[in-house]
Amino acid sequence: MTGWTALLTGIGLTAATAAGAIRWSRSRPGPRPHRLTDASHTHPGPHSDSMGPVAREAP
Amino acid sequence: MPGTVRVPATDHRRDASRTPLTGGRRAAGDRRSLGWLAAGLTAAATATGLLIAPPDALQGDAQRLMYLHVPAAWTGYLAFATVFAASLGYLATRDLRWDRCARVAAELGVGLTALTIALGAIWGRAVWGTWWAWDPRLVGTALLLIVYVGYLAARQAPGPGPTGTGEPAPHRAARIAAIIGMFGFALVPLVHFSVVWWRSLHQPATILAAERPPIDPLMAAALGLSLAAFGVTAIWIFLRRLAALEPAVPSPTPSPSATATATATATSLVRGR
Repeated sequence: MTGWTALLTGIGLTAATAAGAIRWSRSRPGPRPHRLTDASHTHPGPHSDSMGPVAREAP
Repeated sequence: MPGTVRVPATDHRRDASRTPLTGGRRAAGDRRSLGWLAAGLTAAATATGLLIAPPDALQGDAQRLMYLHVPAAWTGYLAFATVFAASLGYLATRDLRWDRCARVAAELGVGLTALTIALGAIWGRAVWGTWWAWDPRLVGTALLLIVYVGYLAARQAPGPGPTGTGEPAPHRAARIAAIIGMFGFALVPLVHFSVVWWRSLHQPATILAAERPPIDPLMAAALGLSLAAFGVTAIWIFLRRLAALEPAVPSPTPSPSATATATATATSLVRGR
């Protein structure tokens, strides 16, 4: 790697990091969906073969 | 109108949940001015580092990477010192505003330390002929990065606390983070003096050397300007991020619909009395 290639790569990396940091600095943290509990992420899988609720025995 | 209750406007200056650095009427304007100062310093540092400072006699133009690598490392140290001080502030006062300062400083420190390692690797490839060496300074810096990435991860997942302590989740996360943040800072002097204490491939201090700094004045000027640019930019980003993390406060002037609802509710309450 020549000196100029290294220098330009370093400048590009620094500029990209700074741009990303400036963008990120204004972002507000919000609630993120949880993979295991968010209903929008669930789908019928191999174990979702239930035919309905288990019938309760009469007391 | 009889029975109408005026909704008081929220006074931002008296809101104790906001950090003094980000609250107040002039804070947004001050941040903008700081942003322009950062842009000006960056332009001056770029011109000086690329055009005015001479190339190094041995390393050639690759040496100019030091105008990025060294300020990134030093600003990262400063960010971790801020984590230490803010963590101490949180543990002493249990005020979550200190915790927010520590969190933002840690995020900045992690970004700057990652940049330091990446820039050092690029420079190392051009000058040493290798991207990485198992050198005390390099390994110490990587450890520092890992500890503070762990700090940020611990903030996200503090886990369930012991039942019955009555400690709210934000305070539990803040307390654990403060302890990690303070202990992690012990690595900073270890990293800095590693080139003195152990035999190292990494060069020893130049600016902070005991004897007269062995550096060309133009190179020192480029480094100084770059340090200022990195420092001011980091403070600017710190304040922007801190302002974004402040808890949302109601608008100082209530919206017409909110006023109408409040008026209707108050009127019905008065009539129903």
